Amino acid sequence: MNCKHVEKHIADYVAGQVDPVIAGLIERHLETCDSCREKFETEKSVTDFLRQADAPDPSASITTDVLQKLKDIDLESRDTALEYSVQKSGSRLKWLAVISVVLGLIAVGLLIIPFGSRLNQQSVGNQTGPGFTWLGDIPIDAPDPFSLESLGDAPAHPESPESQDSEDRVIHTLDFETVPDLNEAPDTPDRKEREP
Amino acid sequence: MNDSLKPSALSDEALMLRVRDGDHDAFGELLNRYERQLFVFFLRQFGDEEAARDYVMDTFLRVYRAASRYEPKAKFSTYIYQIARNLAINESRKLQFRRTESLDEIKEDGGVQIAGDALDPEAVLELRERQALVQEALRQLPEDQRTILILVEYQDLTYERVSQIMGCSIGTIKSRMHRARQKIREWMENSEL
Repeated sequence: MNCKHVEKHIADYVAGQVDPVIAGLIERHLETCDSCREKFETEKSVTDFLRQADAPDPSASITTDVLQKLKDIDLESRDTALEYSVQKSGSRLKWLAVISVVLGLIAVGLLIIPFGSRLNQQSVGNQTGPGFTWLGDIPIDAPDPFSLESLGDAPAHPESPESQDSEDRVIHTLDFETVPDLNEAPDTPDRKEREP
Repeated sequence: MNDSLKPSALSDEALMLRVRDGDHDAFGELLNRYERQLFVFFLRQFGDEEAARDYVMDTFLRVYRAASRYEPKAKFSTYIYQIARNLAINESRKLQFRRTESLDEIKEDGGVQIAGDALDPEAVLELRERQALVQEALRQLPEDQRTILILVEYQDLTYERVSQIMGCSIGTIKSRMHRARQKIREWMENSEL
């Protein structure tokens, strides 16, 4: 090995990065070549400087700290998981409550709507014939004070005597005006009773 | 077959596979094997013992978190040094503004703290000063050259392994290593060392 080869490998040799065979050749050359020895000493001074003081050991075991931290993380993650499940079940309960309320409202709505329409039908029916009115409990067969018939303008009814005179009509009209008396339905004279 | 073996008898890669399966003892064994090496790596990078401890812990926690995705494609040492190096790069960026800190300030702070204060106080002081000088010299280097120098000089890794860690060719590692040594030599001459 000549000086050129040694110069090429000297830094790697100092860094311990050359093949043992090449290292042996370099060492043999350095024994006889002052110039290369000088270069070797220069390179070695860098390594000596870098390695002049060994790095201290960590003041306490890092392994212990890491394992402890992992345990803490495990515990934290378990706590978080538990908290999450509680939150999740809480939100589930909330949703259940909301759904129950909504379903309840729907059920109530379903009950009310048919009843309301029945009432509506009944109230519509009152406008054309006898029945319950919002004025109170009036027997179905009670005369409807709003009917034309009761006012006497109705066309001749089989049961209504055509001989009814105008005074009767006035009486009926008066009866109409005294509507509150209709509440006393039982006392109200039946149409048949009014018939002669 | 490996299940019956003690963790200390297993390779790093076999241990890591056990860690992947939730074996804490295997992880403890890996910690024992790499604790000191990683501590020195970070200590030489940043020159602060407490910070080095934190970075070692951080590196191990990253390894543990990534264990479920671990595949033994390369040597475990390459894998863990890559994680450590990435951490060092990130931290270097954060600490870049502090690189102007002078040697006097390092000395005032004590620089690298020397464990084992049972030593002679004068010897401890001298050791601290030498450590501070080394740190100051390493600070002169860019991150890639410093990392290569640390891996070769303090971790005794081969150029081949360093090239795997750094993700570049052996030729690139060699030339950067030579440049790093050149800069250190120049700094030593300028500092009259």
